[in-house]
Amino acid sequence: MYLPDGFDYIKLMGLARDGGPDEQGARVAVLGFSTTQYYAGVLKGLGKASGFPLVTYEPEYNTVHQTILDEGSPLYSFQPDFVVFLTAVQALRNVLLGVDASQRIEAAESEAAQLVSVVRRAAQIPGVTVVVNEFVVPYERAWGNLTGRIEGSLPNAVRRVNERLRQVAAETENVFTVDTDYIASWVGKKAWFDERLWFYSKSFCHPEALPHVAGQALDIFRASKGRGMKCVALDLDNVLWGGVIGDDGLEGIRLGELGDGEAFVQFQTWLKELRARGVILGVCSKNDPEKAHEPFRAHSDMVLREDDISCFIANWGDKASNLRELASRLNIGLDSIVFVDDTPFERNLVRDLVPDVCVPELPSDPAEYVPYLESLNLFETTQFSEEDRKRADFYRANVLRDTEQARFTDVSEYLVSLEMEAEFERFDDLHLPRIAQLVQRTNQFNLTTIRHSPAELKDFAEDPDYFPYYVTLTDRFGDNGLISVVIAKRDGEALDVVTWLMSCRVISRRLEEFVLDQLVEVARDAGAATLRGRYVPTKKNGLVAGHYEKLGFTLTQAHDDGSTDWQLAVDDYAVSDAPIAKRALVGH
Amino acid sequence: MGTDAIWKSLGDVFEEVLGRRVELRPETTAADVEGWDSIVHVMLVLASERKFGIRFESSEIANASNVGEFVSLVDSKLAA
Repeated sequence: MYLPDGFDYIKLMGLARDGGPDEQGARVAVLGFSTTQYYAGVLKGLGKASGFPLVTYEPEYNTVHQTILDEGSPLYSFQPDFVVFLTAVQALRNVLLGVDASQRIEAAESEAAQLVSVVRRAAQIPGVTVVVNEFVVPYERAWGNLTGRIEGSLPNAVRRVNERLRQVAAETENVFTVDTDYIASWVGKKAWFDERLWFYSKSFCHPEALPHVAGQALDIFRASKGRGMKCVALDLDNVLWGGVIGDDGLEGIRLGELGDGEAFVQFQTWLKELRARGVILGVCSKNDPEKAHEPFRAHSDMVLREDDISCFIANWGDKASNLRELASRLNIGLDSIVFVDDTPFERNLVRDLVPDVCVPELPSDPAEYVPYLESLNLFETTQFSEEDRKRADFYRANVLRDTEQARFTDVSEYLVSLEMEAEFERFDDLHLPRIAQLVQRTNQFNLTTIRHSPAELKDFAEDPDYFPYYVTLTDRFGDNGLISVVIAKRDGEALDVVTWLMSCRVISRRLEEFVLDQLVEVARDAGAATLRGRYVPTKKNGLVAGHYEKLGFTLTQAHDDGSTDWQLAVDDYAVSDAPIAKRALVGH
Repeated sequence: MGTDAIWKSLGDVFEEVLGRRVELRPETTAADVEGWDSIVHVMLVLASERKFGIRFESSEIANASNVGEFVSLVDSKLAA
């Protein structure tokens, strides 16, 4: 996460302390095999400073097992959204060193099993996300440089415990581990470990390191709530290459072996890897549009090519307006964009005019771009699927589609020209990971914003009273992937639409009309006379306030909280003329 | 650094950690200052280390019985 300078642990703990007793926020239980107060204070301070307020609960020091195993403990009445386990290798090493090296792996397995059992129990709390700090690999190495080869050495025994933790995270959808050893190495283990503080106050690290490690948990919190960063908006001159393309020309810019040119190659290579992982790359540059494209087309040392950039905006307009334009063309929120620019003027302008955009304070030396941006861990993700791999292509095809649309005067003619085909199928195991991802992440086109857990979604698939469907869409520009989910539940003579959501990258394609056609079909097959829908307003879903009305539903009730209930008589429904053909699953 | 300068800097350390100015006298103890608990104590010690560029030994972290003694300890470390 990015925070301006000056937020050290003392400042953050101060921020946490200044809150009143009636604070609101996501509920975090911090369970520690160490002191929890410093960590919890820093975590809360980070949340406050970054617009993700937290309320914390900390049981007494070293009562993790009792707290978890006692169903009557305050942990359960606290109803946490998040549970964080603070491990302490200083405690683990005493146990492991207490047995002979020949038995140490066995001891590690037994320690791991105990920890795994409490982690699994915590993961059963309804709606919870569990974050476990892995153990930092200790600095003690009795065999010197041979230690790594000795199976029962302390570092190897600790690594074994970490393997087990990662394993439980891989097997449990709502459990994540923090690679604490990475953080300790980044900070420097010499600075991380302060034995005085372990002996005196049972602190698992020097508190100066806490913002780094607590920040990881907050990054995971955000990602699990679909509030991660999706896009990097890049300036060009002195960001992707050294010099100014408009002045220096193709031969004059520094890129490759020349001068500091290698630093820009490193940065581009880093971006390319992010793109392959599902982060969208955009360009937002004050430049002559033709000249801005030139290096991408003609410079042999460019790592990024035009088709790596999902949305390319180069003009002489101000960057605030251009970022808004970029967000609208890509159909993503401004708060999911990271803006990378070397000019303090542009950064400050964007901070002032579009405060939702994340604007890191880029170092002046391009050789520091990658280490600095990497240290912010801006692109935390809770899963990785085939869908992520293709994301940048999806978005690029979308922008191309929109360019094409500009040539058509009539939208419906344009939609017909897309030759759209959609699948509408009941949930299956193959698609569950992507369905779960969409349910977590979709904020705008989301009628009820219920974040069903992966386990719930799986249950729906097998429950005859539930009608859970996913929708995929292809067109002549390519595959849009799985982009919509609708879940209905039988209630007597009616089907209640519990969840209806759609990725914003396929908005204005009349897909919702196609989905309703299918849904009515489902209702008829199920013998239901009415379809009922509900809209629950959030800060982000104003887009669909009129969804049911547009689709011909009748308002039945408007609640005080702004939510509305709607219904549609199945018998009176006339199939829409949305230009989308239904495609049968291969093999069905 | 003279003792006066240490008192002044220590006042800044307390303000940084507690978020407010505190009147410090040689005989002041943790019991006299609201919020000076064991958690804050460690923060005061570490913030002093950072401020004065010194390091306390394990035995010294809890040793000083009042602020006056603590200032003497800092003074002796700075002189060493």
